[in-house]
Order: sequence, then C-alpha cells, then structure tokens
Amino acid sequence: MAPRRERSIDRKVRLVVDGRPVDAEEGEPIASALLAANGWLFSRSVKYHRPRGPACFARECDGCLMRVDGVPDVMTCATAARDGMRIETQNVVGSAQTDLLSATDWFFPEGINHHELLTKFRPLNRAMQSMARRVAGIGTLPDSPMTVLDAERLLCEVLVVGAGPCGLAIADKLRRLGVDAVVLDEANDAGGHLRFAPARLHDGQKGALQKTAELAAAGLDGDGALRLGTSAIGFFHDAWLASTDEKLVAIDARAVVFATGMREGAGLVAGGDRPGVLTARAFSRLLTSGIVPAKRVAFVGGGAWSDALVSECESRGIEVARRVREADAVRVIGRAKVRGLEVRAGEGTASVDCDAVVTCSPPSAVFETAAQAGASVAFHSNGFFVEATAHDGATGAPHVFAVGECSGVRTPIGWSAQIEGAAARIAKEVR
Amino acid sequence: MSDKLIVCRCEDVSAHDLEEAVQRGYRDLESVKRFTGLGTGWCQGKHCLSACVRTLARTGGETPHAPFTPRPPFHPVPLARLATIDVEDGE
Repeated sequence: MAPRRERSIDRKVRLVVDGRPVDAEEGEPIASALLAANGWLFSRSVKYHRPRGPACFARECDGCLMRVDGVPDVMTCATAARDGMRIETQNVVGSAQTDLLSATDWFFPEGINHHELLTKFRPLNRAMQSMARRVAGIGTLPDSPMTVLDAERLLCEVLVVGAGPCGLAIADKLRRLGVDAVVLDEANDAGGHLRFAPARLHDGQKGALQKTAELAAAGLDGDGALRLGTSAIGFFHDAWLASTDEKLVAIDARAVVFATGMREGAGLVAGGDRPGVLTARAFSRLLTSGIVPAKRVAFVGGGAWSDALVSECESRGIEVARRVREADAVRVIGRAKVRGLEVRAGEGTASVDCDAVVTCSPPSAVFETAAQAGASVAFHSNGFFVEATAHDGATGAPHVFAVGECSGVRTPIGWSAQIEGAAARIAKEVR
Repeated sequence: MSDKLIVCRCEDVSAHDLEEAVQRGYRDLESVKRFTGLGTGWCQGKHCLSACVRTLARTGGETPHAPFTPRPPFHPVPLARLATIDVEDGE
C-alpha cells in the first residue's frame, strides 16, 4: 500500500510534477503531496543511482531533494506547497523509475573503491574522471539568478536556538526575569518534537507538555520574540547567522542557549536506504500531518519512540508486522519501495511482509551549532550529546548554554530543573 | 540475495567500505571520513554519523571521543544569500 491521505484535501492547490498534475494541500510539505500522489520513490543516489525517497522529514538527509521552480536541491520535506509550483526529478538519466545510471549499482555489487578504480592507466583514468564529473553531484544550476533581500540585523541579550519545549520554556523564563531573549526555530511551527510526537511519549505526558509549550510560544510571539522558519546556520564575524527562505538574519547576542533536541539518523540494515524506510520521527510526522505511510509496518530498533509509535499504530489500525532489534534486521526486501523485511529467525532468516520499515536508532543530539559555539560534544549512552551541566546547562564555552535533550537531559523533570538553573545564571551573566 | 548496506546515503558509502577502511588501518572517525567520504555530502553527517559509529564498533574501529568537526553553514545556503552579510572594510 502506498502512502495515502487520511482525509480529503481542504485547500487544494495544483503542483506540476515532471509535467504531470498533482493535487496538494496548500502549505503542506511538497514531499507529503508527492508521497500521497506518487509514492516513496523520489529520485536516485549520487554514486550508484539507487532508488531513494524521503527518510527523515527533518532536513537531515538527502532523500526529498527535488528541483522546484527551476531551483535545484530544494528540501521538499521543509518547503510549503503553493499553487503552480513546478517540481522536477533531479539526478537521473531517464526517470526516477528507470534511471539508466543505476547499472552502476548492479555492476559494482561490492562498491567502487574510488582510490583504486582505473588508477593504473592514465588515459583510462582520465576518461573515467571526465565521465564521473559529468554524472557527479546533485542538481544543475538554477534557471535564473536568485533575487536576494538585504540581511537583517537583530540585537538581543540572549539567543535561544530551538523552539521546542525547552527553548520556549527558557526564553519564557528569561523574559519574565527581564532579559531580552529571542527564540529561533527552523520549523514553521513552535513546539519542537512535541508537534509530531506520539501521544504516549514522555510517559503519556506529551499532551500536557505540548499545551505548556503552546502557551509559552503564544506569549513569546506576542512579544515579537519568536522567529519561526529561521534556521541558525553558523557563527561568522562575531554574529550568529540565521537564514529564512528569503534572507539572512545576523544576530548580536550576549549569550546563546542551544535547545536543539535530538535526531535518530539512519538505521543499519541492508537496503535501508531504499524508499519506504524512514526514521521513527519521520513516521510520526507523517501520521500527525494526516498521511498514513503504510498499512503494515516493521519496526527496527526499540526505545521510547518505538514503544510510543507501536501504541499509536495500534490505535490507528496500522498493523505492526514485526519489531526487531537492529542486529536482527538482515535486509529490506524491495527495489523502489518496501515489500518486506528479512529478519533473523533461529539459525536462519524469515521474511516479514510490510510496506514500510521504521528505524528507531539510538538518538543523538542536534549538536552542530552548539559545537561551533565552542561547546564540547561527547559520545555516551549510544549517541553524541552536547556537554552541559544538568543543573544549569553551562558548557565549557563562555556564555554558551545547552538545555534539554541535546544536553543529554531526557526527562521533563530534568528539563525544568536545568532550565531554572540556566535562566538564573544567564540572567546574572548578561546584566 | 544480498544488497548493499548504505551507511552514508548522501555519498553512497556502504558498511563494506567502512570495513575496508578499518582493515587498512583507518580506524578512527576522522580517518574513516577522509578515506571513504562518509559525512562529506549533502547532510554533512547528520543522518549517518551515529550509524557510522555503530558500524565501526562492530568492525574493530575505535569509539569516538568527539564527532567530526561541524563547519558552518548548518544547512546548505545559497551563496547569493551569504553575500548579503556586511563585511567591514579591510577584512
């Protein structure tokens, strides 16, 4: 079963996808509309031209990239569908369904060692390089030059990166202490993972946490202190830079707090890169947005999200075909979509029918921007986490803090305590 | 039937590639990244870093103390947009 919509489209817009019309809900991610209309296969991978589709729905993989209105490499999981948008498949010779370059995948079952392939004879090597250059990379140059707006300058006392439960809570607290805190989030809605987490997450407290977060967001928004659709991209020239869809925002702040949350990343199973294999968070996002990804799902990996999503599936009538540990997942069956999962069974293996595989890998922090700010990142509990104290979120770097799940604090009670301590300390530091 | 186990999808780096790297003595995260190209593609390791660490753990690689160094920008940003930053004279 291909992904389908739970309810009919409310505000219909029309997209043109590789010349064919596709209906979409206005403002939904383009990738959702493509899934509901055409299924999981979006394009092909860079080297072996293996079939690919969206896997993370969180701007963290390459699975949803399409050419949109003549602009290459648009992350369609994060771009709103608007009427008349022209969407094209990239990176294929032929189509996503029959890409001639996928012969590379068949021809090199053990892979290509680019350090040694055809390196012995110069003329052959030159010919290979010249061919590789032609097919390498993703996308081609845009149809027309970009129009850009001037960068905006923003001055505040504290920059909070991430409008999830912890980012909103600490910004709210800081503002009540009289500190000018501004929160950014790359998503178009506040709430972080609470926006799409299954109801049973956080021991069933997800709903209550979400209400608290929404209240905080409304307050911050009213103060003009909440900037959504704004992604912190790095630290340049003494300013934090963030990017919206249209412009840069250069932010001058005395202290910065990272509340960037976690990600799961890829699961380890042969064929795990195929269309129809998605992360737990991606699966949850689709369910929340009214797209039923599959009728039968296999879960690879355990943990809190896995447990909560299995409950969610049960209450929605989605069949949980199997739950296995990552070590027991052998191979995804299917070429351009998932047909099943081969799992270890006794001394041998067994095939489980399913139309999607959800990988629930041990999560890691979204640590990149905190690391750029000078925080240390360490590997523990099966993932990378920003090193910050549990009692006040202090990292080793001056005026740099990290709170919530990205700092390894995983419970709402832990978050509260950390945020209290962090807000008090930061308020003192910026005065 | 077998299939590749792709660890880094942006650069099509497979578990087999990682095993080869470890066998050649590239056992830590930074060396593996340089030898295989893992983490150097579109997502810059967001999706594959943890999976790489799990693969290295079972193939005799080293447990990392730190991830590979993240560089700005966090997401790909058009040069035209980056060019709108004011740079002081003389810099």
